[in-house]
Amino acid sequence: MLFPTIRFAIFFAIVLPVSWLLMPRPLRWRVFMVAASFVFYGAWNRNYTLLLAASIVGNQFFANLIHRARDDRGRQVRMAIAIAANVAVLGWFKYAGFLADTTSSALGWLGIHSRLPVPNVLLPIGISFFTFQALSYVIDVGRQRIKPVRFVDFAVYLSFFPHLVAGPIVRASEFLPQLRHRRDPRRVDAGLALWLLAAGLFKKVVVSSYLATAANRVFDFPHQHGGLDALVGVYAYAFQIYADFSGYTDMAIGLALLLGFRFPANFDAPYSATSLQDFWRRWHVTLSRWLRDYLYIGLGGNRGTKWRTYRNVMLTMLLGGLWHGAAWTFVCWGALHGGGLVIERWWRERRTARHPAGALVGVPAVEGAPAPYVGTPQFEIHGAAPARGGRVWVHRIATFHVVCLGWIFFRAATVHDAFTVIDRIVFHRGGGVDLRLVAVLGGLFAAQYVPADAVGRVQAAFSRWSIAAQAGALTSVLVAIDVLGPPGIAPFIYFQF
Amino acid sequence: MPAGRAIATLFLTFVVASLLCSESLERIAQRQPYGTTRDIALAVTKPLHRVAHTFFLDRPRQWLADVTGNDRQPVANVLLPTATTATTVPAVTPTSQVATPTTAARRTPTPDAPLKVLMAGDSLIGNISQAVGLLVGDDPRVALKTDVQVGTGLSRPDVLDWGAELSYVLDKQDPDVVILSFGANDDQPLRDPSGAFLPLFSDGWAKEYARRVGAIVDLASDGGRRTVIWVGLAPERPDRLNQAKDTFNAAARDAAATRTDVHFVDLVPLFGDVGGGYTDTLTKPDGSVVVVRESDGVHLSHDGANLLAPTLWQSFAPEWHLA
Repeated sequence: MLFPTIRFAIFFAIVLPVSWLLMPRPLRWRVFMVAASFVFYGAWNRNYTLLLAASIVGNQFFANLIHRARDDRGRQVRMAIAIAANVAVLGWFKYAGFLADTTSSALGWLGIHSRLPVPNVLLPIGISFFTFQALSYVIDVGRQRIKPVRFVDFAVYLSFFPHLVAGPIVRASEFLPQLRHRRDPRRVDAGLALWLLAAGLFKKVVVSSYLATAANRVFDFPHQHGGLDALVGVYAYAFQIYADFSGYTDMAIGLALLLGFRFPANFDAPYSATSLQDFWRRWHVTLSRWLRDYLYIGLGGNRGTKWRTYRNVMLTMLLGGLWHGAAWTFVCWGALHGGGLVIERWWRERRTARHPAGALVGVPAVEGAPAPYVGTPQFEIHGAAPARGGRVWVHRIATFHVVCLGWIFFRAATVHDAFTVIDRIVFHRGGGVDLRLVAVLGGLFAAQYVPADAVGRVQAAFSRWSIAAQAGALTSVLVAIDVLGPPGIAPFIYFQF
Repeated sequence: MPAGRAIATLFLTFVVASLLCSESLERIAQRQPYGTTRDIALAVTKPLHRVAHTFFLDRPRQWLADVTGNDRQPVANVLLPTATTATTVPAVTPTSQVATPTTAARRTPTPDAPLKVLMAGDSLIGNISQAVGLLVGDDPRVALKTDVQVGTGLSRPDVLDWGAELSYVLDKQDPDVVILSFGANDDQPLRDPSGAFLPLFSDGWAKEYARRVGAIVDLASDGGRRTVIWVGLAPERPDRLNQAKDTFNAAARDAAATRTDVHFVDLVPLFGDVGGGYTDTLTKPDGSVVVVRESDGVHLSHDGANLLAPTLWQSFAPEWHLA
């Protein structure tokens, strides 16, 4: 069931009031929410629910096993088994075909023509997301940050439909404490929730679909476009994937708020970033935090020589790329970001060594820092950093273009196609450009720099409107979406992950 | 804000938006596959639209759609010859219903006047069109365009009327060559022009589908002025679609047989196994094994489409003096 569909609207129209009616009865509420989440997930394919159920049962078993270990070594071994089991399941569904094809190609270069038999496996939607969430649970239990919770609580956490299929990647340590306390229906941040739902829907249905047409034209037939046309097509994709993903995340966060849960923010004006490190503090924040805390730190982080640190950064980003998809294009995307982060780190260290007062760009994120939650007093969407001279804009434009270079690989069907697009941009001039598209892209880029507090003030004002006024505003947005959006629902890019 | 207030706001929004967008909701209901869900959806949306229309509640949305020009849902008298709606696209009328055999010489494309190739159809044409693009490369003598409409076909003009869609695109782009691919979503019952329900695999269903294929081909061909290539369906993994493909391919093959400028590209010998059945992989002459189908068992993979592209190219390039 996709969020921007009538079917989901009917589903949520039932789930929302029943959820609040059952809130005084915690166990019944939990059972109901698990059932509703399974209905949601099963709407794609009933067989998927078996996998989800198996993940819940298996990971809860592992968590209890890890918790009961007598010593550190026992805990580490059991945690390793749990991680291996999750990775194996993810690997089977997502990477078996890729590994078989890659092995066959490699054997082909050696003159051995054969293909490893791989059964046809349909990739369950959201498997990467809920597997990472399950891993956060077992690892946090293994690190003794949390204790295993009741089976039904873990079932609610893992299956919770707002974040089940496309994130944000909410950790167990972020969600489970909220589950412990009864949500207060008088304190629902509904104004923010409705705002996020409306904005998310508009971004996903209207903005993303409009930009997809321009991007697809270039990526489907790169040879048929001049350099400028191809470049604009890449910009269009950059904002298409942003509108698509941030739109869906906004809706997920809004739905969770209406159900009384706060999710961490996932996007913070990413195209205003002044460096790749800054970009990863603003783009898919929950994934980058997960990679940092469970992969990068697990590999050793920056506790070691600088070369070891560079290796850990590179490995983290390569695996992060692979998480997005079983294809060499995603590996290239990860490698580009990893390489860029390593270069930034090297440059920063060099500057710090020469100027001990500190560099302007790229202060390392505090490892393990808690996530900002949407809607809490501690939450600060930083928005764009205040401009400090022309150099910051040079950094911003440069970072945006490095990110766009990565998107070329992310979007292209093959590595060869990616290089074709790059070739068109670099070595071919001309190409007609749609001025309306350029204006839209300019507006979207400028929107990255709208001060966060300005948006916050509008949101706060909306929250104070009467029911009728709010309903009127939301209805206007829905009508606009209905008129401006394409017929049917465009697939959500991140569903394939 | 209390949860109850949020629920009230959402409920009010839902009710008002449903009335204002009732025409859209009815259209969405009509697009569902024939069955109980569609019947229930129409039972709700039709009266809703009637009420909204009576009280002028659907006018604001209609006005906005007219102003933005974004509500094109045209119907042309191609697939359903007796269809009438408020918005009717005059079909680009072919100069004759069936092209008389001609030996009209085709022009030689140049960079200033390239060969305009339109690739249109359902999602099957997606990877195929990219493969053709890869094959053509940056040859300035060829200009490629696509019109890919996912989830559509010839069976359900109420979802997308391909007669109108193709008329519009042909008028706008005036291609020299039209490559068409339909069928992935057509393994379902249909209604003939009189509204009679034709169950899947019935004789009436096969005849009506063949009529629609002929109508689309004639529209695209425009009396032989254009070269039309119809890409058949390969063996499919889903049983129902695999069975239906025989009807689709037969209809296209027959249409091509009676029209000199229409060519049918049969994918069954290209992508079937020894017995003409479904296979995921093919072994190339050099012995390497290639995965030619996507995991859904319907679409060609990129590698599969790349294997098809030269065959498609050869089906029209010589006629247009392209090597």
